[in-house]
Amino acid sequence: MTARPSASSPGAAPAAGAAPLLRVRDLTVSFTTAHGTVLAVDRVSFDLASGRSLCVVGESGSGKSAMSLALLGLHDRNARVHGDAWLDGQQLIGVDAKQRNATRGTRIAMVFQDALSALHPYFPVGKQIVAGWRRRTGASRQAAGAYAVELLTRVGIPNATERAKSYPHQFSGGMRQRAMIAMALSGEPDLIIADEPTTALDVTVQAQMLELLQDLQRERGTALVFVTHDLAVVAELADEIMVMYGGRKVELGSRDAIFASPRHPYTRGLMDSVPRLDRPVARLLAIPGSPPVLPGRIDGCPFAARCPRAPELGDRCARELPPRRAGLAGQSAFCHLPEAGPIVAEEAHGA
Amino acid sequence: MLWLVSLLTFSIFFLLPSGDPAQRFVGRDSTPETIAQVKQSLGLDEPFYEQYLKFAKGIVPVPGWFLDEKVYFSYNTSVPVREQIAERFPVTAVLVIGAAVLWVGVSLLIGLLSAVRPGGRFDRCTQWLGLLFVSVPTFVTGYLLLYFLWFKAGIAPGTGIPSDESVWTAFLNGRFVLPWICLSLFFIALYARTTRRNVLEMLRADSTRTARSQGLPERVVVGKHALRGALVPLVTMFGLDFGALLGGTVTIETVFNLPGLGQYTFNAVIDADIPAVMGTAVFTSAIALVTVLIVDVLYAYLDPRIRVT
Amino acid sequence: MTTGEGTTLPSAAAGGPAFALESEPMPPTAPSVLKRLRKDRFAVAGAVGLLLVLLIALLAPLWAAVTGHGPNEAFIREGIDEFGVPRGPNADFVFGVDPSGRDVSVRTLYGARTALLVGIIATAMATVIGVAVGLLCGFFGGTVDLVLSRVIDLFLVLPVFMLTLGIASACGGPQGCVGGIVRPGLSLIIFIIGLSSWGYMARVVRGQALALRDREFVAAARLSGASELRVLFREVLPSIVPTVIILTVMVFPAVVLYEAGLSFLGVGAIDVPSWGATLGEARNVFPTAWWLVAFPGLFLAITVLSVNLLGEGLGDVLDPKQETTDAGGRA
Repeated sequence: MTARPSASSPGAAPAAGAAPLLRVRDLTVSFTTAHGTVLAVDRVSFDLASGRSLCVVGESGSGKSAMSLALLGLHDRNARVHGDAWLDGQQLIGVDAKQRNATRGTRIAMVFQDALSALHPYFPVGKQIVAGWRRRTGASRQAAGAYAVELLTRVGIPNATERAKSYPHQFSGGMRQRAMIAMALSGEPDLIIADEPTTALDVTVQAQMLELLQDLQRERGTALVFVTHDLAVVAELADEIMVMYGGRKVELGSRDAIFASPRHPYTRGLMDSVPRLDRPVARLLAIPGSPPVLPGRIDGCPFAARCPRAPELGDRCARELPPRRAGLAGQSAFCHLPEAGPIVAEEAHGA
Repeated sequence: MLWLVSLLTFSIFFLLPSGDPAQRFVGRDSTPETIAQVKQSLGLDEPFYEQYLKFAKGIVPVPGWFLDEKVYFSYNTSVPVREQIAERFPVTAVLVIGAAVLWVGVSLLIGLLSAVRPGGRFDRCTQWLGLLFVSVPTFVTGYLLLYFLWFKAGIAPGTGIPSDESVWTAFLNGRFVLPWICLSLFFIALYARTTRRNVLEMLRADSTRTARSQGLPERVVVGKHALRGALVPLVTMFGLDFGALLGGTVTIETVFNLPGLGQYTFNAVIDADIPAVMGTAVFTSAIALVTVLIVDVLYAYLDPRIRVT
Repeated sequence: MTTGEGTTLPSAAAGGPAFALESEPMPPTAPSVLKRLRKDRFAVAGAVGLLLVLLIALLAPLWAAVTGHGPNEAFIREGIDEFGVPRGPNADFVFGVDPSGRDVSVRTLYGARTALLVGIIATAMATVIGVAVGLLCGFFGGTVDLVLSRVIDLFLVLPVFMLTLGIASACGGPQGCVGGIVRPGLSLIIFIIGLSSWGYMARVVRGQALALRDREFVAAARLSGASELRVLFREVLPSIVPTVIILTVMVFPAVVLYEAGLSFLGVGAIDVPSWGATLGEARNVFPTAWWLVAFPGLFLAITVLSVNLLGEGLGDVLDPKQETTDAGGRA
């Protein structure tokens, strides 16, 4: 794995106003495959303030998972990560193993999608969730066990003392996910990245999970990056939303702004495709076509092939990088259509 | 199962025309009367099923009955089979156990190290070597080892165990070292490969990613998480192989002239020494079964998903 | 990019670029398999080795004619010296002489025939029986499975080696067994080895067939009205082909080594030259008569190694999940 911070700022965070907790600039993740280089994430940038939650929305293949993995250095061996990401001024990209391990769990923790496969089948749950913590603090087995029970209780698992000794396959799906959240909490991180943690759960359990996350956020002031493709979750949880398509950020803004007036045609399409209970709908709208299979870097807009509006501009959408246009209250979208908003000066694709 | 095995074995050997056991029992100078007498005492003139029943009794693992002396009495050497097995088994046991310790340790090590850097030089080297050792039969490696280490370099003892040496002394004299190496090489090649594959699979698993996300250093992730997951299929393999080997490795024992169970079985079969054959068949099957049982228990211990709560 | 007409959108096919983010496992068709195999160094080396062995097997009689030594002819005068020790490699006997006075080089070349014959036929036998039984078990289930599984287990548990020895040695005498039907020699050995080996394959095939039986495409075929046999042949059989191929490639070396082992111990096919036999004959004269070990051993190793190499390559190609040379990519 190689990862390099960008040449311009080797390690020092750019000075900013009320310094956000997480600053990501031009994060790029590419894979070398048998078919050539594939760009999973293409120059994505955003900020996240402490205690806030950002939902990263997109279809499968949009690069949202790859991006979140890259922040923790958990991407695959044949991935190349470029760009910068600062957590409280500390560079996350391209650092050595020791530094990475120091950040993982303590400053950033991750909650994965499928708890059954994410947990080791042969070790008891209690042992697993405090493994990192125990190693760091050198705590005894009893202390670690007690902490595990404490964590499990906090995430709402009944009979925690019993449960801590059980194995992952003995838990229900919802409980397993809670256990994963407990694991993420164990190091008391400043930021939690959750990669579609609720996708595999049914709706009621999902709701409980979201409630739990929100509680925890409020309680501990943890920032949250929540990757999902489910707009209902987004509506519930997000302070801010980042829409990704084909590896690129296509729109970024506060939840209210985006729901009220989505600027990018893709975001619009997403909003429109969610069936609404309060209005009769003639047909279910879908965005025709499927997400792109990513080649190397493309020049134009990644959505060009599917965009219903692209033909209006000839082949501009396919050939030219769309400019940044401003919406409500700091919202930005990358589109050629004038109605997406007035063009705002590019500051190296900053948020 | 044991029943079926012994029944079949017996049937086949019974049907094979391999000279008159009674005659062999008595020896060269014998008169027809003596032969007839012996035949009668051995019960050879009894019908098939009666003969078999006597053997069948010997399968029951009750101390008085198991491979009881009266029935399991070698035709050739006129010694109870049980005694002979007791004599031979330690040799085989030392051979197999020693080799097992060696091969398990080495293959785990090699497998782990290769998996950590797949495609790297160490890995590719060991892969080729592994394929090589899997392809060469043990008797050839045996020869090679003997040639270079004993004949040329003179650092290893030659073949065989002198009759005045006990197994323990032989062990101390290092007579087992070459056989251990020989036997291990093949299995190391096999097990290292499997270990490597299993560890790689574990390393690719989601659970490894989770462990890493906790900030656990790589060597803990590999040594504890990945290895633990990789072990389980290996345990099954090992159990089967070990159990089978304890029944005697004929080729190694032949090459190195070790008076073990394998050679004994071989000779018994060649000479159609039916009680001996039956005895060893029962004994080896029993051992195999016991090993399988132990493996099952071990497996449940290692993989909690198997356990019935 | 071509634009759509009016409000209908261009399909992804017209729009998107051509290749996949994750390499989709290609269904293994014969030409694609061969192509990938050619790129794999392991496999190529294996193929070359195998061809070499095949070649020498075919050329054996030619060599015998050239040297003027038949495979079973003993040349006591020329081959064995005054002390009764066979001569080593020299101008007359390129690979030396064996304790019975026979030309090792000729016997080695002929040994290739034995090895290949045993390998191919016994493996074929094991494969055919194994696949057939496995499929029947797995596919039809129920009583068929119950009964046949016991049979498989039996064959797996039998002290086959012992029985083989027994049969091989007992029937090795001039009169054979079972009233002369079972005669000593190569065919018997092949038969026994084949019988010993089919169990494993049957087990694996059975497992796969059982799993496949419940898969959707089988159900789909059934729903479309196909008869059971048809479903078996057209749906299940093709799916297990990769596994069977890999297993076959695993069985072949095992069979060859088995035969070598039997011959080594003296109970193999005594009517034909065999590498194992020569190796066995070396036991008493060994350290001096190194040529008895070196040449048969070398060729035996080459044969088995080649097939194993091919097996490696095939394994990687037919089951890309098992590709263990890199860590694999995920988006």
